[in-house]
Amino acid sequence: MNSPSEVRALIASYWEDPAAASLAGYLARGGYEAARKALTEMKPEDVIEEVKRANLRGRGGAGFPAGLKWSFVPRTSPKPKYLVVNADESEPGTFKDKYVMLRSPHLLIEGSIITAYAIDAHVAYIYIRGEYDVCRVRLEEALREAYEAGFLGKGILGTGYDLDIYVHKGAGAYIAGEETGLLESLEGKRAYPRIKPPFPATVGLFRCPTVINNVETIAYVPFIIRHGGAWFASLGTERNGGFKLYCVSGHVQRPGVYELPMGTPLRTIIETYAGGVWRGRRLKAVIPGGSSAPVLRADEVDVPADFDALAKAGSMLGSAGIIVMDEMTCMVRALEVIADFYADESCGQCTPCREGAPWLLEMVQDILHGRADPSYPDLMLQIAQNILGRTICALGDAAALPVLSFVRKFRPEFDYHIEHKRCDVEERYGEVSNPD
Amino acid sequence: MSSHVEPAYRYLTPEVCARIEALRSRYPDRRALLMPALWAIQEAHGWVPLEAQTELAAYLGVPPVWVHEVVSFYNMYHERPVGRYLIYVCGNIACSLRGARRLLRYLLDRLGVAERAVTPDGLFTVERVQCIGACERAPVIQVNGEFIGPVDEAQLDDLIATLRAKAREVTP
Repeated sequence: MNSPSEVRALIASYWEDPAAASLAGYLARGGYEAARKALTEMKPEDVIEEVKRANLRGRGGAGFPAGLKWSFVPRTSPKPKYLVVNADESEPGTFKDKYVMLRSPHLLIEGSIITAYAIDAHVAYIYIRGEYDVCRVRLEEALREAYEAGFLGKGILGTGYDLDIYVHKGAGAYIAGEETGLLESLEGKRAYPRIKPPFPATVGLFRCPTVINNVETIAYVPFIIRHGGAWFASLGTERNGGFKLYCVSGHVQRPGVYELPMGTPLRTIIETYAGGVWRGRRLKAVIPGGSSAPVLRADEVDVPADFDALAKAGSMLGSAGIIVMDEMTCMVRALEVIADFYADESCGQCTPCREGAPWLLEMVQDILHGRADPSYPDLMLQIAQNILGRTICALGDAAALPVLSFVRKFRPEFDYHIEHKRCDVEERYGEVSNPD
Repeated sequence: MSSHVEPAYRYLTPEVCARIEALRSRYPDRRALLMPALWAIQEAHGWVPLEAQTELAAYLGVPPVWVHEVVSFYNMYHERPVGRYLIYVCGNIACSLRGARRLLRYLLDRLGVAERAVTPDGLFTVERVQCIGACERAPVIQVNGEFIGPVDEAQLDDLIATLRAKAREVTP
């Protein structure tokens, strides 16, 4: 296949037909042709160069260029190298990888074969969250099919290349999605994130060179090999190649996963694709990148949804979990739910996060239940600032950023709760969209 | 002296051990077998009692604390028995925006049970969980791993009735 001139969907094109989840259906759509091309016509270095050209950035949240990450693996290391696929999708508001695994499992397997080949790995682990057992069952089926057809195991596709892929089931811990926490978990320990450096590319799983990529990142690799890195890059915006799986939830008419060109305006995703705000209500706020991303006001959503533009707008693309809130949303209650999550999921290694996240939660609860005094909002900002950047992993930032943005952007709602011991939104509308 | 030999393990049955052994070649380090082994135990027995943890440590030849620190860290390993139907109710942001907190209270009231406890008939355990990755179906619940949503009060009533009927069919 040459470069298609007009592309409406890549990964999601496999989702329209339930048959595409099976090996036969996948092969009928050109499945495993990219793996064949990579393994028989390309050197591992060529694969890495192609992915670098594609401007494929990590879809787990950090947006690190995938090709660059792969190039950090020391090729001359005598140790085994590992590929780890992060299928621990746990950032609140994110549910795209679930669809990749349920409806296009072979795309993930083919992408894993190409990636493992590029980094000279012969074992890959797919670490899947325990709550996604339906996906695990589907993946195991697809892996069985792939082994039987000779796409996995010894001498793949008649080449001298061997690869085994194993599914490893998590057991309920948000922090296991942090890449070094995930490695610890895979090694059979508590998912405590590691101090970096060393980075996993040199000291990773079982102390061996390791690449960890998100499910969506890996699932785009076959398209890049099939049609070329330059083509993939041209689909998106500058430095943000390709398409993106956007997850829209909250107060929209049509919640769901929408695959669109990287950099599609946030407002277009919400209004055109997700059908706009439900019940004819007005938009109040949007969290664009999973619950750890700073919230945007309704007047701030005219921004391209890519890594750089959203960073410039003071938030982040993160995992592209777009959470939409209507005008009847109580922002204090919304923050309480988010603060509860990060306090609950803090692994406890670093004091600022272990102590600070629960303090922030208690303070929001005090505001909500009329037990706070007017000093609270400023004190919360101060605590959040003191967590920011002072922890081993990004969970500390994730606990701090929502507090900073909610309090700064919706300060009058917090002050009203404190002064009147009542909810301003509830008084105006008679009820709120997000009751306790 | 009795000729009867006590089985060495109560929870690490031959079936559980066979499952663990089938996975051994996947990992270069036996400690990495811990999580899959704990899943095998829980799937066989419904939970992971302390005794099973001690047995697993002995079986793998690792300190018992390595097992217990894992069990106590991850939410999905049950240190106490749970009902036949384990119902996860998501209470995170996307679900709470669509009324999940009320549904949780409704379900607990309807079953007359505290969170994480087991109903006297042994059928139900309800647990509020963090985001389970199905925000497009908010408010969403999971029953023994199966996603159901969006749900409202009436659907929860139906679900309870259906599950009770199903339980009666299985156990006369």
